[in-house]
Amino acid sequence: MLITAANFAAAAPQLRLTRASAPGLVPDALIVGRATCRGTTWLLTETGKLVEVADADWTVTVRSIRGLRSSDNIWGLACLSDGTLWTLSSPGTVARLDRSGEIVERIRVPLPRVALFAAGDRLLFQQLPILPNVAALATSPPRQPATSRAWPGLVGRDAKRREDQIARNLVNCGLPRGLSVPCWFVDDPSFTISDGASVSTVASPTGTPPADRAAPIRDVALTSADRYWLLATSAGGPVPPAGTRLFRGHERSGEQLSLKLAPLARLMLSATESRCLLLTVTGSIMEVVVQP
Amino acid sequence: MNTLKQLLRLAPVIAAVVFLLSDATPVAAQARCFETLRDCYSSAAARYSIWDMWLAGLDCELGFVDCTRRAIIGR
Repeated sequence: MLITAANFAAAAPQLRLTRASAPGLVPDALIVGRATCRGTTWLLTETGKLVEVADADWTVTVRSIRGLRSSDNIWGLACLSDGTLWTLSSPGTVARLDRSGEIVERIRVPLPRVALFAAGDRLLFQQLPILPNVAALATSPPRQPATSRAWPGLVGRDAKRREDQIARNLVNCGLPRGLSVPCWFVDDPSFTISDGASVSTVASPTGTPPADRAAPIRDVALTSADRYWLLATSAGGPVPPAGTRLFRGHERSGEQLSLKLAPLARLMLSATESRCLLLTVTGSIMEVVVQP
Repeated sequence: MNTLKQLLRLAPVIAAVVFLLSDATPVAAQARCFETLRDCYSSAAARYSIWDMWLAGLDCELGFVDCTRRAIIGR
């Protein structure tokens, strides 16, 4: 019996930090967009840098965005299924970047957009006006902004004051699995998964200490076998919020593994069912794996 | 003794300053966005026409969204 119990305990999977790079690989400027495609993670900083991180060998290349105008205020980054990179150069304009960081195309959009992600071959975005009881996100082909359609999933929540209605309905999205994209309202501890047709909601794993109520979820990545990774904040944590604990969960079974992070993590770079690559607050890359 | 009395008088002020300086939380960062929005709405309300007021109000909300997303969503 004792031997059986010991063997069972030894076989229970755990999350372990297995590798970490030197600090300072990635600039510490605010990251305003993150996209992944074809084994590469792209980061966009508010200082106009496009950072390319190769998942395989962690090679980091930093390039300056070229073609920015003085009136631009870049936000968001999307990599579509055809490999093209898109950002919001301003709320009224979607811009395509080539891999060297040059803005090569600009397309005006009919309504101001305040968040940008990818859903297959379509841009996934949040636009103004932000209204209650209406889908919070929409999609459109990048070059046909007028043909947008609502993205099933998050629905705008009501509030008494207009500014609260805006603040509590701001959306963030994580790393997708195929066409399935995880998104959440920034003050909500649960996230939805939508592929444009079906929707499910996942409550955040619980942890100690409790998450920061203003932004409990820092990031989510979907992986195969209905699993996900979730980066959670902690109450009283740093500003801007950083991930203090990493969870790997199952969307339906409630199975959960967790790891307290040191250093803290800014976001996830990539994830598979058994491995998660994170960017830390020191600018290093670290790898967490599921180990039996 | 006089020094002690002076310090005791200043204690609430010192405590308030420490509290304000330590209030570097995401909620505090967002609070600054709310303050800026209210100031912006006041300026928008001073425009001449309803149309100008409405456009200025939209700009205020865009600025508020930008401020809030940088405080909370930016990584």
